[in-house]
Amino acid sequence: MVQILISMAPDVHDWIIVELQGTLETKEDVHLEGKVIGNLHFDTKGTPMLVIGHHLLHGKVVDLDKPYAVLRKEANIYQYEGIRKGNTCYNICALVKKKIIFKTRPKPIVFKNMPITR
Amino acid sequence: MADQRSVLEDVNKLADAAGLVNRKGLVQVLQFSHNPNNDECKLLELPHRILDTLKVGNSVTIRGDHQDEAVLCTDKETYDLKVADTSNSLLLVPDCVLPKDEAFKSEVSPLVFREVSSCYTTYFELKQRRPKLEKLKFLLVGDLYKGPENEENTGHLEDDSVKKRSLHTLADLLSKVQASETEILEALKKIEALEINAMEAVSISQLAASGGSSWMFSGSQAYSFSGHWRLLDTDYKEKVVIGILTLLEEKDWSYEAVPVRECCDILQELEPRIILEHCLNCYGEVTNMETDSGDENTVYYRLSEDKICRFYAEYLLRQAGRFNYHEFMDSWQQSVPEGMVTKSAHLAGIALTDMQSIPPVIWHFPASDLPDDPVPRDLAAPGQSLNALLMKFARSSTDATGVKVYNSKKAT
Repeated sequence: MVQILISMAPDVHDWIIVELQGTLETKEDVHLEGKVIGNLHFDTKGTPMLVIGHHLLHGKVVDLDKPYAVLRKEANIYQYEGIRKGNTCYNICALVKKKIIFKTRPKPIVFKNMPITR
Repeated sequence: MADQRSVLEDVNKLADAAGLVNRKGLVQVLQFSHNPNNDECKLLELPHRILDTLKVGNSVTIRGDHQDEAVLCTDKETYDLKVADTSNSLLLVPDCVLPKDEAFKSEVSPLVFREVSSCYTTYFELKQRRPKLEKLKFLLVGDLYKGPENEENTGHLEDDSVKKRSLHTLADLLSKVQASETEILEALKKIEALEINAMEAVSISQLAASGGSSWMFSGSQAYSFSGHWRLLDTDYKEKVVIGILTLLEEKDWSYEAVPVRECCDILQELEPRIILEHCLNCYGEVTNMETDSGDENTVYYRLSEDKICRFYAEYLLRQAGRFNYHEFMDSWQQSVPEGMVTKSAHLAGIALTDMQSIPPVIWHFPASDLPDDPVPRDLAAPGQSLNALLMKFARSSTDATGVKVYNSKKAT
């Protein structure tokens, strides 16, 4: 029987999730590490707006009915009579109570007065 | 910082082109993390009760053998742990801030980079479920308590022999049964198991020496020592209970006021005190009695008429195959203590009758031996009612005696 303990520190962080419809794809098969996804703006009313490539998305900030816990695996590996023993547990390193959801169709951004050769 | 400024210029140009005239405050540029190992985090959707228990510092536990579906237990409840898929992408952005946050207002730089630590299309979700307790009884039946004379070799147990004897502490049960501690303890109480350590299982004389001073008045589930959880062998339990009831008769005690201490003092010559107390707990409860003697330490038990009647019914039926119904009802009434009246309602869940046969018969058929999950209920998908499933394959009708029966929908 496997028993995995999950615990949470009292001063747990609050993180945010940005939810997009569909998946993010790149034209070429490249590593994504460090790649910029898009720019997140807010307007005067607090509405989030995301510019991805040449597309604009309008979204909204939503309180999650059931928050997500972000679980980080922590293996306590120790030596017992020369045998390596593992004891897996999870620590909740953050809670996600709000998300910014973008569920409208992306609007293409049209560049006026700009040379096409850009 | 020249780089940052040119980035800001590009970002603003793009925003202008997009017509974002009302934009205000900080721009957050989302980018994938530089550290590819951040992926080891998982998302778990937390129902409020679980969040509350975590907030006060309690842990929760995922339990299951490799072939089991995983469950998550708090100290009180059990939840199914399932993977949920979503067609959306969930980007986890640890440092992202919203206009209402202080950090958003106080940020001096007009543009900041925010790392997306990971991107999810799955998360784990929890749904409360019935505890999976089937294994509990199965584990305990492996080593029934059959009386002190059968326990002799447990006095100085080596680790190996414990394994051979398959005895279980609460910690063992928690590691083997997919249920919360509260649910396991409730189930143990329901099946009338008791926690007993090796010393108490054998040493009658030692117990006699400590006598009443060690008397503890706790429910059957809350003895303050850690031992093994055991079920009593049915033959043995019957012997102990008959012993108690015989003493009642000898001493001319009312079943409504059994002086526990005196009762156990006499009978512990024969059986361990803890077993006697356990049986009294199974068949009765503490009663508050006005006593003439003014002895406030005397604790009385009132035996339950229902439970004792059921006890005798099973005692009589267990040994017989089919019993003539009327003969049974007579001998049953004669065997119970004076003042108790047997009723056919007591037989619900322990016996079946056939009143059509000549003569009418009764036989032992304990409902507790039936599987916990009758087959159709097992097959019904979550959210689908048992009735809906039955209606898909069967039709119901009422027979001559008013009993609802189901038939196959297809003619055979």
